[in-house]
Amino acid sequence: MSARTIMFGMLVLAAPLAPLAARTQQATDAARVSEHGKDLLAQYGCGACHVIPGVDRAVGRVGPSLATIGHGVYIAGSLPNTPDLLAAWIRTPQTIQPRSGMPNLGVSEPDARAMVAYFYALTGE
Amino acid sequence: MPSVRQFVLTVLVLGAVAAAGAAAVVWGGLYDVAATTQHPALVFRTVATALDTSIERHAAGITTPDLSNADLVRQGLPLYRSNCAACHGEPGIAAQPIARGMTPVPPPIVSPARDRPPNELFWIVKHGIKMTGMPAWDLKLTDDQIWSLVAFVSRLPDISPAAYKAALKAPDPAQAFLEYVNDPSRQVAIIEAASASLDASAPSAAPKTASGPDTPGENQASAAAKAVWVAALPPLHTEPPEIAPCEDSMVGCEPNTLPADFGDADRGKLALHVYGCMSCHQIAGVVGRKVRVGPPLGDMSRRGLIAGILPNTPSNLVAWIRAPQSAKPSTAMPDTGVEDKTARDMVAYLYARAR
Repeated sequence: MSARTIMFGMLVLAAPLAPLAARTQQATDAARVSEHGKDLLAQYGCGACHVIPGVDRAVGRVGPSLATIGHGVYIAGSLPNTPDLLAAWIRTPQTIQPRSGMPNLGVSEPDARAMVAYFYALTGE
Repeated sequence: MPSVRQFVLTVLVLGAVAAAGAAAVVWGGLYDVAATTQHPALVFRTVATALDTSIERHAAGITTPDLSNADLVRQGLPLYRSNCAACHGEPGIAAQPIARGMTPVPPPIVSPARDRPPNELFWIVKHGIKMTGMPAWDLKLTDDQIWSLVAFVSRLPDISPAAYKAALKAPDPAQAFLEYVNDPSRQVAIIEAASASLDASAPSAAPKTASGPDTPGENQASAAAKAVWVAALPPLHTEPPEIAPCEDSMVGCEPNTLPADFGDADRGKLALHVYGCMSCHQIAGVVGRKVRVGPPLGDMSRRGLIAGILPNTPSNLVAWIRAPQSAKPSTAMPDTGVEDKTARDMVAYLYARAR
């Protein structure tokens, strides 16, 4: 049996694993985005006002704990909890609700999306 | 070595003791059925689990039709409002008082709408649930009508309370409802508008807000509380608050202290149960489901802001509990007509339990 035959055989055997590899890749990407979101939450100092599991020094109690925000029905008691609206809220809370104690911190759209990914990945409880 | 006889005897004796205990509870009237006392947490969890598994099992054979049809949602809205809203409320609108003392408390509709699949919602509406306030709608509504209810209810978590109330005031509420749920960016605009209208009217033009267009479902009792509350609104934030790390800031770090004799915590605990607060909030010591409609209330004495907008002081919290819709028109928390003393008692309990 030549080396080429062996290689071919291995490829044929591995073919069914291709979709699995793609899924794993997707999962890894999602994990990376969510991990990036966690770093951003630390960088923007969100923990000064919120408890956020997994984020260093995120023990603030000005606003609510964000441990279970991914499971909540509403954001800020006012908006349906969808990724789009949560990202919008993170970016411009005081534009949406001028009386909100949560400031507009100039978070970019991709940064807000990464934070949302982290929140939705939190299992809560 | 224990014989088979000994084993059988032990089983028989234990069985007799258990039967005697059960008989004492049943014929001795030992279990407190008053709706003013909570179920022990273990009993509540056991019954709730049995209820969930039963619904899941019995609804398993039901095939959900395509619910994305806009006509179904259109038919569902008026059906919901006339048959269901009295007990399950609507986004930002409380259930009628009759529902608030029920045990079990009817869940705010967005909760099952989010947590249960459509086939289970259909089964619950059609068959009702024994020993709860949920009636069977079989024979009273057709299956098609029930599916239209399910189609509508399933979309309810997708609309903000402010947009929902705006839709109800539109010439064609169902059409407006659909437009909002299909375009969430419009919901943001509605909240901005609601905040702006409040900011324009508070605090000097307070009476205007208090007597403004009626919110459907709003009750008389809260109107008086509202006028008082709106007049007492604190100055608006004109600048973003200073954000300092918790170690350096007292806000939200140290527990707030309650003035002596502010309220009766035990009565407050009863009030939180009787008003059904645990149907939306998880509250330490108040038995209920793991709901996520509003935030858990476990850390209230340490919380810096109420509803994200008001400094957390005992008097602000009382005012918020009494008339949340006046303080923040976009909030999902409805006015429930809580009296001043009762609200103070609730605050006393929430602050005492906060850890």
